[in-house]
Amino acid sequence: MRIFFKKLKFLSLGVVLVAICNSVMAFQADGTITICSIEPLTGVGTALGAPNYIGKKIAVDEINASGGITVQGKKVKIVLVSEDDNTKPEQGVPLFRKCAESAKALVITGSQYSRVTESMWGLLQKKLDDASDPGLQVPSISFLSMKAGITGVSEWAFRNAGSEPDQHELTVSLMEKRYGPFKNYAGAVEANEAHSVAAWKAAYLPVLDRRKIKPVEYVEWFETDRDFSVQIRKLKRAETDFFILSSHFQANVGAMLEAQRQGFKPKMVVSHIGADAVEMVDLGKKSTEGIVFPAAIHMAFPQVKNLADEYKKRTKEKYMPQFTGLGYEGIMIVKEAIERANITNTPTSLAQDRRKVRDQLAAIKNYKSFAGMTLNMNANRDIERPTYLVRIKDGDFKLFWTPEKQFLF
Amino acid sequence: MEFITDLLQTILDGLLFGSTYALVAIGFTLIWGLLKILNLAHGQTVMVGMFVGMLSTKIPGLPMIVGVLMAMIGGALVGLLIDRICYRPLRKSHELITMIATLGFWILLEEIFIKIYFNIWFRDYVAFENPFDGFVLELGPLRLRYDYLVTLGVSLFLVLTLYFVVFKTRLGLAMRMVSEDHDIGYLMGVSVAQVLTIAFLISAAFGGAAGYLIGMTSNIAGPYAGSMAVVKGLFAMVLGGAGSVLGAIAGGLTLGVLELVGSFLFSFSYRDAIAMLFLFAVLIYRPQGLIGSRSIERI
Amino acid sequence: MGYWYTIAALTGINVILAYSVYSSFITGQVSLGQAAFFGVGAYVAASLTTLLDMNFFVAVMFGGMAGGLLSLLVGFPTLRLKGYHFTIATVAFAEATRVILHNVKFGRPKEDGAVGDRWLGPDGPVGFRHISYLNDHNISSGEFAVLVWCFVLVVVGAFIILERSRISILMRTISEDEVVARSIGISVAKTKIIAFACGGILAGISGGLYAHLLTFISGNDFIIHLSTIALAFVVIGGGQTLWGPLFGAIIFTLLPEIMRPIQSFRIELFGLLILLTMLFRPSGAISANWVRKIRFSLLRKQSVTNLRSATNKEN
Repeated sequence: MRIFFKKLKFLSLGVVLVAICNSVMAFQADGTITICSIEPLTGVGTALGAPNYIGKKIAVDEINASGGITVQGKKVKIVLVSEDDNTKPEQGVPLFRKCAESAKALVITGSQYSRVTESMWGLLQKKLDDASDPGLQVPSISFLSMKAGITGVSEWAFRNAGSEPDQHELTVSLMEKRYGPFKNYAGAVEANEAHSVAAWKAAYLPVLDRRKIKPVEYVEWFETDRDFSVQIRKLKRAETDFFILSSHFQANVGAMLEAQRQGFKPKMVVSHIGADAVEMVDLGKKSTEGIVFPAAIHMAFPQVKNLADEYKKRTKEKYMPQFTGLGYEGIMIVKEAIERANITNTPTSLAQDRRKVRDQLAAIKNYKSFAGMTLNMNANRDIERPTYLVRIKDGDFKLFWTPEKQFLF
Repeated sequence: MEFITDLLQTILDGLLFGSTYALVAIGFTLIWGLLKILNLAHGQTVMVGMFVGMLSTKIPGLPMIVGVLMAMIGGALVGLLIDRICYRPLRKSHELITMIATLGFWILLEEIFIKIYFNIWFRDYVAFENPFDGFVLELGPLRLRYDYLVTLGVSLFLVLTLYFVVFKTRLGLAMRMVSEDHDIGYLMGVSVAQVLTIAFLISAAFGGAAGYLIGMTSNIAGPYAGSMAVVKGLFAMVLGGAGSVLGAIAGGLTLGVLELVGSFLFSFSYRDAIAMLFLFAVLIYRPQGLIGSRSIERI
Repeated sequence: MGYWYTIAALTGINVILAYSVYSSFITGQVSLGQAAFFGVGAYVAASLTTLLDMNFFVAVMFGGMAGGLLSLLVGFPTLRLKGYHFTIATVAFAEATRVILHNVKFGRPKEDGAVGDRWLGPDGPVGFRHISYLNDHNISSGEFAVLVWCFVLVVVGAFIILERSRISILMRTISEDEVVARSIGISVAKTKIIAFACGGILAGISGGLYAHLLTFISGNDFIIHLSTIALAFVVIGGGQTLWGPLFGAIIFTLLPEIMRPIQSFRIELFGLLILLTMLFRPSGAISANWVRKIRFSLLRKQSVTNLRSATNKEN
């Protein structure tokens, strides 16, 4: 037994040395561009991370198939380094450093889960050109992390997800115009989930305040709850007709099933992007019918069809959530920024190249997305984009409203 | 008046739903009482039961009883594994070592199932057919969910069966003997190892049944059910009094009621904190639980 | 290299956390509630540096003290509890603390910042953002790693001294048999409380360091899982000697990083490793026997050298 442990010790020492050597070596071979992708491929955030990563991968494969990104007149291939943060900030933080310092990534994309993204971005230099701040100087862009205000952490941080306050203002006002007036507004919040709480505080409450409305009822639950009878009963007693679900699909399904049981049928139910999951219809069946939520990209767009087909081929899924489209689009945006940045892409020019790309990301104006809409980067480094509404109808996620065509049904 | 009705309804729902917690707690308590160990992997019998149950509902025409039985067998298999891997080899070791071994098993099994769910369905939650959903028994202003009633019925049946086994059979006699002292069992010619394995199987079968019922009543099956079961089941067991089946039942029902009434009456965000502090107080002032009898340890 | 500095810092933090469990483990109390003291330490230290611009070192020490005070609150009432009851009580307390930390809100408004980011300090479930002391004061990742390991060295040194002293024998006697301990005059209650409080202080310090590394904390960072892993450090590293927690924490923090090539099976392997250790080497990787043997063989070499040099001198 002792000999076994001795051998194990030496073996593990050898493994450690090899691992250290491997990660210290630059991933960047000559003639490629490294983009790092950090997201939750395992853990509780898998439903957000996996589809998004597939979108990124499809984009990179497409770009490389046509030769790569144009740098100094030549085509250069992208190396997409994928890291899994397991939805834990203490995994994400060292990974971010690894991507910035060992992998020498030009851009780091990630993460999806707000809590992890915030910790990672805390490593970045807060303000540009601040010599006293030893923070990392790498442009990083997240294609989700919906928590309001998250890009405020650093001037190197960007987000392509859309602004929640605007999304919900639009959703509520459109629903009021079409189906209103409503008498009793009520909200349900996933009390232990940061994004849902932040969405309620930063997006929904201001929407109600602007209209001088006080919610007639306010209930809370946890995403892991199994019994929603108490909350639904309260909502029903308050005769809620406009129901705001600031919650993710796990609890949404349970709550709506309970609502179906108790015969609680509010005239209108709206939710945030946490409702963009196929479980809403697979598990919720008829109970989630009619729920409206904002989306940045939808697979019904004709321009998105190719991506959706590729996604379906790779995952055998019939529904593609907006996270995939955001990931694909995001890589295309990064490609555009890199091409405009006029980088030199040598091992010594990395710092300047990163700064150039960052500046180009900040300067995105009137960018035409593959999905057809026009994007602009605002002063808070959040991409401003048109919002679309999706409605669950006949067990499917149908595109409901677009700025161009208004209501589709 | 509405308030009273709602309160009564909440208590009723809590009692009905709490029966699933009771089943899980009974599983914990059997092992605690007979083997004197804390089996942290017990939650996985619930998770496997839920998984098997969910699959069984996909077989058209399969009566629910068969589904529950399959879930119980699935759970029992996990229990057998726990017995063989975590308990038997470590019988002579300190109880803490066994507990940590079950912890490792818990982590291992949960991850494996997360992968299974994700690889088959590309998601973490899958529908669990609930044939009783939507049906309600009305008792005046109170409405009792059919699926909750079925849950209570199944739990009651299992508990009565257990009662019968423990008090009316020789096996039960052997179990009671072994729970007092393993050595007495040996002296009396009882195959202690066999009894303990059977205890594991029964406890795991209960866990499997609980998994089926929890999955059915929430219409969802997922790989994280095991962890939740451990937390709730442990709480229920300690609340009622560890080592006593009656205590587990009382604890489970009480927990169910506390949870729902808690969120009905109090601020929700701190619901868990209130529950946990309540448990803490119970452990300090009445460590034998609500039902258990005080064992004096004076030297 | 920044990656490895961060890993080194995390390892150090985990080492201190492991010792916080070890501290009460020696007296036979298995605490699964260290997450509470860790979390409180994190919030206190982060609040002091973010809201009051306090010096980092002082803030972390205050975090430690907060953890220690809270542990007294838990330790006194639970003195009578034995075995699993004690463990469950610590779990209950830790969960209650986590919920409170998750919901607590204090601090002050922040002028600059995007919509939704106008608060400095813990903001309920939204979390505690902008714990940017390290970057504000130009402390690099390497410097922070060194800082953390200074703490670690002090802690390890303290335990080395403890192990050589009589007190450690007293503590282990309590864990073996409380009745015997009491009968030979050991003040069981006092020892257990002090050990538990030391554990609380260590967890608080560890939490304070953690908060600054992550720059953003929220209640969900301090779940039971954390306490379980900390216990695993001690049990697998070895709870019989002071080297066990050190070894356990180091191996378990580094192993997932090294296993990244098979990263999708990281967690399964972790569970399997716990299981295998309990089955085949329950004393933990570093057992008391092992340490004794090493010390003996070192001493023997020493005495042989002494003998040789003595004989040479004679000649």
